[in-house]
Amino acid sequence: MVFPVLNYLYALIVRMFRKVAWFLFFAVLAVSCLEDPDCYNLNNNVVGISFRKLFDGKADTVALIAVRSDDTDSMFYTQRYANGILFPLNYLQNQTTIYFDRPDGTTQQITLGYSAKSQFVSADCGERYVLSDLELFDNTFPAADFDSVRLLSPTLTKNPSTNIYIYRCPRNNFVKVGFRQLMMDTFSIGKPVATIVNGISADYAGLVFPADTLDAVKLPVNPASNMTTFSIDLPSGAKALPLSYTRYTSELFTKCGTTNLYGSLALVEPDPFVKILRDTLQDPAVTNVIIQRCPDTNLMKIVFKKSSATNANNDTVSIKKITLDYSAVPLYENTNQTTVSLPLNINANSTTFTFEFAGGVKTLTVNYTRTPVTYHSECGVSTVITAMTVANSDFTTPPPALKNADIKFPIVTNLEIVNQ
Amino acid sequence: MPCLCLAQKKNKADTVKVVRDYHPTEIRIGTDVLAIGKSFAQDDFKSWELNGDIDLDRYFAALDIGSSSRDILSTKGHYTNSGTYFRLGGELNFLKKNDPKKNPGGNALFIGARYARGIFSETLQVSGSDPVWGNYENGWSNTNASSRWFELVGGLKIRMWKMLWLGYTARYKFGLHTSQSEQMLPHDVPGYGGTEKKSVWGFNYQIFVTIPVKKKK
Repeated sequence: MVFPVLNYLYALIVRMFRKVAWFLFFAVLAVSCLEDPDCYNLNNNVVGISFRKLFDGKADTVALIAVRSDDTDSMFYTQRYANGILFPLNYLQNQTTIYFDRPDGTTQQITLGYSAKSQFVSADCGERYVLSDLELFDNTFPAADFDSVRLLSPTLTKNPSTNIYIYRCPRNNFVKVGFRQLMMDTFSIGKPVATIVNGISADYAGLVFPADTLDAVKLPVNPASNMTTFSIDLPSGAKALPLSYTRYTSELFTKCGTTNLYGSLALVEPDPFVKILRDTLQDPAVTNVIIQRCPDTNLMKIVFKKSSATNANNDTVSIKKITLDYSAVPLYENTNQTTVSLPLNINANSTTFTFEFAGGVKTLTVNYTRTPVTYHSECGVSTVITAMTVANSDFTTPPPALKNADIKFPIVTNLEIVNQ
Repeated sequence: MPCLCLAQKKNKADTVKVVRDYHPTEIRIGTDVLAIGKSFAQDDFKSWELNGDIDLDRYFAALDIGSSSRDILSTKGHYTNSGTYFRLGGELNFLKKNDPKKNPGGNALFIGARYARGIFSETLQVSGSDPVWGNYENGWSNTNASSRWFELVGGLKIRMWKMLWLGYTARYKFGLHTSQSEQMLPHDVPGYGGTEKKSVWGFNYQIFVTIPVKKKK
């Protein structure tokens, strides 16, 4: 009697348990699928602004001193060129005014309006801000601030994209000046060469370009005059660049009104090292003027090596000074050098160099053949040095290796020396 | 001589017309055990839900009502949310009802749909710091915001013992629409869940009791 009842209860419990077990399994599965939100990059408050040229719609490079806004001390894009900017909008308000400080001292501004809504994310992440319906407040910035502004997309995304195009009308008053190096050939234009410039000023505007190392620069001519003189501060001294030009007006774009154009660019005074390549100023600027320097035809390059093996590593040596037999001016005073470039005497067939090291003094005498050659008329007759030989050397262990017997420009390695 | 050879005739199939009886036989009322469990397990969440359905042959007319509230306090801020909702819809039972061999208990394996509405309020108080815009404190609210969404449901209801049933329902929720204030987007909609995604899944684990309406034939 007892056993059948127990069997019945057991079977009942087993059936119930099997059913409940399935429920418990799905309960665990459901709970395990809960996701925690990622706290990174929650807001979409960054607006993209691209600078464009009105006449071709292509990207424009703009010089910026800083980009800033009200209610924050933060400065963005300081002292740099930019084709566009990404700027964080103030999500605690419904509008943000962005100021663009320019190198000429002016400030342009643009005011953007939008809807900013908060939303709770999680206890760990806090809240986020969702910005939408971006719009331009046309009536808050003067027309003179920007030539044209276009709202490309009112949608702000977490991964910022371009929302606004800022166009500018053509500015044709920039002359592009290139620095060129003439070579030991007859190519009269030369090659672009990076040149140290300590600053460039204009007679009507003061400093128009800061110190930099560059092979070309765009300089603004005086729009109110037919002549502008630039002063280029080079390490070798200031070089004056007086330019004359004609001015006329034309209406290229209705939006831009009357545009000033400049042509017939010319040097006020002839300069053998300055050439006019193009006499019309354009936007974007093309190279109008080149400033050239003559090639150095007497520089001998010496490389210090650690040993005389074929693939020996370069050696850095401490030099107190190097003196020349034909000049009292010491070279490489108190420096550490791996290579040195030393000028050979173009008025003699031999030059003696005296190397002063901490451990003593060594001399090196080089003989060579001199040939007068005129590569460029503006440079006059250049002395080409060939067939060098080492006449005497205190670098005896081992003897210096002559790599190139002829002086070339750009300079090449002529001697390898092991200094022991 | 004619032969009345009845014993030699083969049995032919007979067609019986099934008569549907759409008169309800029982009302089932239950609650979501998972919601109650989460309410006890979590300090910042309270919820309850009542589920009811009435059988109409193989179909069920269903009504759910519920409520939930959240109170989340953290170093980032304070978020509160509370509201009520209801769902109205129908279900189709794939199991043969009252089949003495295959489904003696009248269990249900069903799919269905719901139309849901709700009303809720939420507040958010924050205290934060932004590297550009500095420190800030602010507060927003959505008061008496309305919500609406749709659901596709499916699940199982098993008669465990006499009037006692256990069941689960899987819900695919979509088509959420809420009213909101100009300053705040909803984070959580009672009955629906988080608003981050366009559709969400939900599960209910229910315990039911049935109340007979009509004696079954």
